[in-house]
Amino acid sequence: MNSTERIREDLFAALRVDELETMDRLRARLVAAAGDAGILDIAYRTLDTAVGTLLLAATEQGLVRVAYDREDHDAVLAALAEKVSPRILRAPASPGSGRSPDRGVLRGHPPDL
Amino acid sequence: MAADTEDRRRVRSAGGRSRPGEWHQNRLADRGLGLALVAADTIRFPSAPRDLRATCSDRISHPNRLERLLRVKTFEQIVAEHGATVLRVCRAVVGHADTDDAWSETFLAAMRAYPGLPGDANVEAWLVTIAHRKAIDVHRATSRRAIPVENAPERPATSCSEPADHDELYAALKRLPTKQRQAVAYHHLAGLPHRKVAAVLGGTEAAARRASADGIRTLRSTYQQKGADR
Repeated sequence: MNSTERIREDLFAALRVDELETMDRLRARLVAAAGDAGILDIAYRTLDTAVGTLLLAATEQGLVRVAYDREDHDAVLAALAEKVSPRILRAPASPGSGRSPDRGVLRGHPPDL
Repeated sequence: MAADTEDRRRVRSAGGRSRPGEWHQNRLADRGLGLALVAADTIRFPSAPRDLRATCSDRISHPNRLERLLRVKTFEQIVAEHGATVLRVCRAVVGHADTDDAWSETFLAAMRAYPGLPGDANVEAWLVTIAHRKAIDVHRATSRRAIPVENAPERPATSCSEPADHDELYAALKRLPTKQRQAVAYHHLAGLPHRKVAAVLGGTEAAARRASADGIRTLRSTYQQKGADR
């Protein structure tokens, strides 16, 4: 450990208090603010189903991509970042959220496009 | 889509990674409607372009190492990689009460500008530069709000979410001259070299180095001494 790291560790440990909870709160706030500002180009979430974990990605217009486990979700998101826009955030489903990418799909309805 | 893949190879072999967004913009311009709609079509019409899906999944299920390195990062990854560091920087520079606002403004502005960021940019330094400006804005807004209130009730010294240790460090940071506090945060918390700290703060590298060293010395004698006494 070099001297800079040591200073960081012992002097600033108090800055890390509640860091995980705070990051969760701030990330949720960013998703909401980016959505309101119209700069959240793609929102995604994952969903555990009988056929494995699905990745659901949606733009303002609706679902753009559903990916199975075997497709490597990171690679799917990277492809979307390149082809559509890198302004992509994970947006866990929340009650009343208009941007949740899975409206209708889970209830057996076709994607809301 | 075959031509499309050809395109991509050509771009990559010619110039390495293109800027995030540049590829996107070119693509949208070339194709008019953009791939969002093409991708949407494959979902809406199960019988639609099989070759598109084949191409995509071929590419996706066999990523080689180089391709992983060349990938454009999603903004989610940027937040995951740098969010906590920027949080510490905001806490150190603006204090606990204004941290949420400073962090949120920083990442909102960064997300707005992200598609134009050059692929080889130093993301941490870029975020710190934005955070530096946003911290000043947030501080100004707070000072403005504070002026009209006379005889404001004292803020409770501690709450359950702010343990005593927390408060003492914030108090010690707050007593530092602004330049020192910024230099300490950008060098010791964000890990920027003094040269880059100087670029953010203005002034010379030597001045940034001195501000950071002076700040640490003061923190050691005030905050840590106090901690040792307890």
